[in-house]
Amino acid sequence: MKDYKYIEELLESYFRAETSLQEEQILSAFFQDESQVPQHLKAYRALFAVEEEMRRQRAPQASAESFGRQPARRVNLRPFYRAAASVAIVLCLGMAASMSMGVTGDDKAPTAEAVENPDAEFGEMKQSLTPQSSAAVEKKDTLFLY
Amino acid sequence: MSEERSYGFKEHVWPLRDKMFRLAHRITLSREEAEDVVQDTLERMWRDRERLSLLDSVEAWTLRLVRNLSLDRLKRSGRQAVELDPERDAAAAPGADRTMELEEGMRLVREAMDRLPEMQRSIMELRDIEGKSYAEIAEILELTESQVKVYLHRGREKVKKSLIGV
Repeated sequence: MKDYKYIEELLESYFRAETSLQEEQILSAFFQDESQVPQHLKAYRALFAVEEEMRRQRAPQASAESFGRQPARRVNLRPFYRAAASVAIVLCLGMAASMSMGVTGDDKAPTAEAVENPDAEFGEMKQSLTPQSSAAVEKKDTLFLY
Repeated sequence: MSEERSYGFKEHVWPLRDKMFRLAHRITLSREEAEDVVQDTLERMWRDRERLSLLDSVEAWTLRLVRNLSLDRLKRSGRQAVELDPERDAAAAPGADRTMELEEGMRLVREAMDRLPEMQRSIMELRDIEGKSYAEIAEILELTESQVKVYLHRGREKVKKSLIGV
């Protein structure tokens, strides 16, 4: 039966952060070869396997030649989308409010009765020019300022 | 990028991209954030390339910048780097030569590593993945060598505990 005392001692030192880089390479090499790892140390293979996996991680491909001239900058468009959505919502609300205020008797087509009775139509028109009505028109316009 | 104007950027900074990416990924736990950090770091180093010759260690300086930019991003986004990266787990496809037991162990190790405090995670990355000496890690992270060893010991112990019982 093989003596794994050396590896066990190295492992203890490793977890105490007392190993040299060279000793850590010995451990890494040992645990990469499954056939030589005894059952009671097999759990530690996962640790060195993950480290090996992480070492193989690479940055996405990029060209050094083009870097200085044209940095491939990722533009974050989220703030612009938010601003556009806010403007659209305010506009919709403004339009809805103005429509709800604007659809009054003033905007309706003249009734047959009014056409037949010019005096009555004139009276309606005069009514629409009172200050109360002007205030309503002014209020309607301010809604578009939001 | 013309030779006479790169001031060593191409030779000393550009080849560090993989290391930059791995460290940024370890800190942010997000591929996309890590890519942005690498890009930001390269742009800053490019802007300051005339001063590269004044640095004692371009690599230490660059990796320190990577860490600072990664931490800035975490701070801006208001999240702690304790989230698991689903892309990472998806990318770690089971190997043909791996047993179920090994796969399960590796999953536990990754999760344990991701849950470590940022400093312990960064130190394990620099030591166990990049093979840096304690002195180099101390320089990058502006710590003493003793502090580096204490953090490393704590990080490794936590990962070890995740493996007990597997």
